[in-house]
Amino acid sequence: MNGNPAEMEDSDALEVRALLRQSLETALARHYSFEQRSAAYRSPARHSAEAWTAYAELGLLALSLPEAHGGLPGALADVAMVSELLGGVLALEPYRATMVAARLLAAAGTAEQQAHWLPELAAGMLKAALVPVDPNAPAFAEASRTDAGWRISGRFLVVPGGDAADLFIVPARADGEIALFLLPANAVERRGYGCFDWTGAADLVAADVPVSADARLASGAEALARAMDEAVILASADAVGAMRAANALTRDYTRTRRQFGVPLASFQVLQHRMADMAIAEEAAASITKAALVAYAQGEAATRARAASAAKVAVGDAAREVARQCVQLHGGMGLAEEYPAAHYFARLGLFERLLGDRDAHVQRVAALRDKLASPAL
Amino acid sequence: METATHSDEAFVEEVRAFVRAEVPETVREKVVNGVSVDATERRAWHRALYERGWVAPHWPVEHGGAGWPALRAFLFNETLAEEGAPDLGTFGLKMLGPLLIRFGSDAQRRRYLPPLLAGDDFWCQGFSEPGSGSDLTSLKTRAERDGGEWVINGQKIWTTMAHEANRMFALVRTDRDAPKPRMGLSILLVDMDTPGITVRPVILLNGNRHTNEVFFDNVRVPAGNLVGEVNQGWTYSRALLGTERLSIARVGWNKRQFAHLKRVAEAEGALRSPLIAARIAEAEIALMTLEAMVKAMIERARAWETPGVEANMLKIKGSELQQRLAELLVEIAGPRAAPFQPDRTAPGQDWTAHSFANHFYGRVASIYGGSNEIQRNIIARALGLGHTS
Repeated sequence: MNGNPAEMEDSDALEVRALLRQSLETALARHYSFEQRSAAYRSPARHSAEAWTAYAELGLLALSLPEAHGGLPGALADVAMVSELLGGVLALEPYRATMVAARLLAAAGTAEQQAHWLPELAAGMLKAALVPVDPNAPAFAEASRTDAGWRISGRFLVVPGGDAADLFIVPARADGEIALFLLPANAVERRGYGCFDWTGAADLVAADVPVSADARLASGAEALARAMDEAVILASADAVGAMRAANALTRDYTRTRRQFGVPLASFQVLQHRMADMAIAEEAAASITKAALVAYAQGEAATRARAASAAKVAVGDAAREVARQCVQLHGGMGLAEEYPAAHYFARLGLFERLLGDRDAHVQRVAALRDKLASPAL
Repeated sequence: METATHSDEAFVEEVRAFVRAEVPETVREKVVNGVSVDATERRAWHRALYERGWVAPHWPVEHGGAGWPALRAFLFNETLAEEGAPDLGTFGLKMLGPLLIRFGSDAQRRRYLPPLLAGDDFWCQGFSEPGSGSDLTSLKTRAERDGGEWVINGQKIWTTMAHEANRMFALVRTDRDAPKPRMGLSILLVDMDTPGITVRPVILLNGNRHTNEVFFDNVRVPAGNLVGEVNQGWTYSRALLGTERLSIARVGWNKRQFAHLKRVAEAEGALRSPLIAARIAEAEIALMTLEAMVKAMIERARAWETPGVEANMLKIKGSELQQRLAELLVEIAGPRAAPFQPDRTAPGQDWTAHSFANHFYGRVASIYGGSNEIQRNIIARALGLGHTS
C-alpha cells in the first residue's frame, strides 16, 4: 500500500518534530505552570490567550495544513506530539478541536473555503470546532434545500472547544447523505461552559439557519469518519501526556510524603501500584503510536480499527492511572489547588467523549471482517 | 421500649414510613444525587428524630438514647440510609456522644449531651493533620497545661464541616516524651469560637467546600475539657471505631444508590445495551455479596464470637461498590457527564449534572476512615502475615 504521502515520515520530519517538541516544552515551562493555568481558567475566556499566541508563534496551529494557505509541513503525528505535551500540562486551549476542524477543512473543503478560512486558522486568529458524532448515539443536523442554499437545524450537546470556536463544522443529513457544513459561531445559539476538567465546551442549537450553497464542504461521510478518527487519536495522545504527568506527580509525592517514619514510596504495595501505572502509561503510549502509524497508511478500515483500539486501551489505562493518582495522594488528591484531581478529571472525561468503551469495542469487532488483510 | 416487641421486618417498615413522612421528597432527592442538604433541612430532620426519641438509637436510655441493641440500631441506620434520610453528621451523635458516655465526666455529659441530642450543637472531629493521615499517631498539634487551661497550637486538615460546627473534639499531643507516639495523645473538647482558631476551607475539584484546615494559635480551653485521662486519647479513639463496625459496609447507602442507578438506567433506555445491563447485574451481585457478608458478621456477633477483621473487609467491599455505582452512572451519562455544574442546586438540572461530581467525590470512600491500604494491612496482620509498617 502506498499510503498518504503527506503522512509519511522521513528522518528530516522526525528531526523537525524533535526540535518543535523542545521549543514547545520551553514555551510551556514559561507559560503553563499549574498556577498560571488556574489563573487562565478564572479569566473570562477560561483559557490562556497568552499561551494561544505562543502556540501560534511556534506554528503549532499551522502544522500539517497546506503551505499555500499559511500552513507548515507536518503530519497528524506532529499534531499528536503537541497534543501529548498539552495534555501533560492540562492545557485549557482548544488546540485539538481547532486542528481537527482545520485539517478537515483542508481535506474536504472547496478551494474557496480553504482560501477563505485556513490562513486565519493557521495563524491562530480564529478557532474552530467540528461538532462530534458520538458513536454511541450518532446524531446529525438536518439540512433542507432552499433556493439560495440550505437551512440547517440541529441540537448538539458538549461540543469540545465549542465555547471558544469562531467557526463550526456541522455534520448534517442532506438529500439522504451525510454532508458537512460550515457555520459561523454567530449563526447558532450557543451555551458555553467549562467542563469538570476545566476545558471549554458548548451546547449548540441551530434553528433553521440559512446558509448559502457554498457553505457545504466538497466531501461528506468519508471525510467525517476520518476526522473523527483523528479526534480520537489526538485525544489519546492528550491522555498519554496526562498519564505521564500524573504518574510523575504521584512518584514525586510518594517519594516525599512520609508516614510511619518512611517515605510512602518505600511500601512495596505502593511500588507495585506505581509499576502498574507505568505499565498503563507505556501501553497507552504504544497503542497511540500504533494508531498514528495505521493512520499514515491511509486505508480506512485499518485506520478506524486502530483508532478504536487506541480509544479502548488508552481509556483502560487512563482509568487505572486516574484512580491510583488520587488514591496515592489521599485527601490531597481531591483538592482543587493541587494537580492530582485535575488529572483525574481530564483522564476521566477521556472515556466520556468521542464514544465510550463499549462503542469502540463493538466497532473493532465489526471492522475485523472489513479489513482487506487482517493484521492479526 | 415500644419497638421491642416488633419483629425486625415490622420495625424496618415503621422506620421507612417515618422517613417518608418526615423527610420531604426534595430533600431525599438531594441525598440520592449527592447534593448537600442545607442546615435548615438537616435540623428539621434532626428535630423529627429527636421528638420521636430516635435521634441516638445506640445510646443508653439514661443518657437520652433509645437504648437499642447494636443489631436494631444497625437496622435503623441502614433503613435511614436506604430511604435517603439526610446524614446528621457522624462526629457528634455517633462518635462524640458514645465517647463522653464511656469516658467523659458527669459535668461533660451534662453540658454537652443535651444540646447534641436536641440538634443545637454540631460537632466536628479534629484528627488528621498535614503530616499525619494514615499515620495518625504521629500528629503534632500540641496542648500544654498552663494553670487551669490547656493551650493548643498546631494545625488540622480534612476537618469536615468545621465551618458549620460550633464544637470540635480534637486529638492533640500532650506528652512529647511518651515512649510511643500514640501514648502521648489526649482528646480535648474545643468551642470553635475560642480566640486563636482559624478555619480555612479546602475546596475540592467538585466545588465541595465542606472540608477545612483548622489552625490553632494559642487556643486556651479549660482543663475540664479534657476527656477522661491525659494521654489516653488514642485508646479512646480506637474504642470508638468499634461502635460503628456493622454500618461500615454502608449496605443501606449502596442499596439506595443501586436503586437510583436502576431507575436512571431504565428511564434512559440504557438497559437496551446488553453490555450495560450486564454491568448493572454485576453491580447487583456485588451488592448481594456485601449484604451476605454483613449478615454473616451479624450472625457471628449473635453467637458472641469475638469480632475479627470482617469490618475491615466490609469497609473495602462497601467503598468499592460505592465507587462502582457512581462510575456506572457516569457511563450512562456519557458526554453529558462532562459539563461542570458548580451550582448543583440550580433548577432544571437532572441527574447527569451530579454524575461526575459524585464519581469524583466517591474516591474519598477508599481514602478516609482508614484508607483501603490501611484496612488491608490490618487484615494481613490478623492473618498472621506480620507487621507491614
